[in-house]
Amino acid sequence: MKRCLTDQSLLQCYTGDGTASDLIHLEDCVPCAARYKALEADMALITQSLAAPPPARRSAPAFLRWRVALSAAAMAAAFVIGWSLRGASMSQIGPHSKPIASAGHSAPVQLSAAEPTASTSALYAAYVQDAFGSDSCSEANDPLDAGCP
Amino acid sequence: MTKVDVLPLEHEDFRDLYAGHQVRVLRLCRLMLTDADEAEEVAQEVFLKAFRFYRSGRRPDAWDKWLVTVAVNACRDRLRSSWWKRWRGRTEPFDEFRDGERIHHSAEDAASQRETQRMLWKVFGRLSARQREIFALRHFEGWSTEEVALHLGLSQGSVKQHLFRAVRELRKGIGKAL
Repeated sequence: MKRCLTDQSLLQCYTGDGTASDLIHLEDCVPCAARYKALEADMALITQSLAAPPPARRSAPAFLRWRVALSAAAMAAAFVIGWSLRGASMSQIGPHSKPIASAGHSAPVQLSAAEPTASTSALYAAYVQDAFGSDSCSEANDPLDAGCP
Repeated sequence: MTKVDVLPLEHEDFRDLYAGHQVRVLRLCRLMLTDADEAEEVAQEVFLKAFRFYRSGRRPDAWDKWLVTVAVNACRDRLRSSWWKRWRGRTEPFDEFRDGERIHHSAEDAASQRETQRMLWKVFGRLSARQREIFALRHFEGWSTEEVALHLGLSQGSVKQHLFRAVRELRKGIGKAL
């Protein structure tokens, strides 16, 4: 006896594309006949359900609809903010490094930004005079030197 | 009142044509697009084309085949061109059916039937456009396998294979719904 029909052969019998031997088998085979009945019932239900209009559709919430665009905009904004912050910090570093790098002469590096003024020189002179007396030692004669009184 | 109702009397034949095929064309569009609103729009477009064709004095061999061919092509165009619209206005099925073509005897029957319909439409919507097209033409329009194969430029074996896969998925859907 021929083996039972495949699901595809059974469907072809239903749609009228079955071969003669398949149809003969379907008449003789009780399990295949039962499967064919089940297929008929399912197809009737499918036909009835799909003959009715599809369920109405509603728009997804606005946030969900625009989620891709919102995500892209947030990423772009974060990138722009990050880039501008980086640019600001680089501009602060820039003026210090540039003169050193570009210094082409052998002048010593000025560590203090403030130039010595007349007031600081006068203060220093007053301090020296106060500490070591009057003009006993000039700047040429070191007060710590033995030769200096 | 539809647009056809306001046609002049000399177009009486076209009115009959519309009355005779409108339901079929609309159902075919629904099956191919799985969206009732878009299906109605496309069906209107199909009959507008049919009216222009009719007014030009030409007549096809068979209006039913002509209408189905135009409807299938219009649905394909709609599926191709509406990607932006679909992306922007992404929609989700609303758990409610508009028309009451259902016959049920109790609240439980009604709920069960509605669940089966919802599940089957969901599964049907997940089939490929080609599978939906073949299923609609073969099962609802009653075209033979040979006619469908000729129309789509496929082999008959390929048509049978597509149809089998579509039916297999739909039967699985029934299993989930019940």
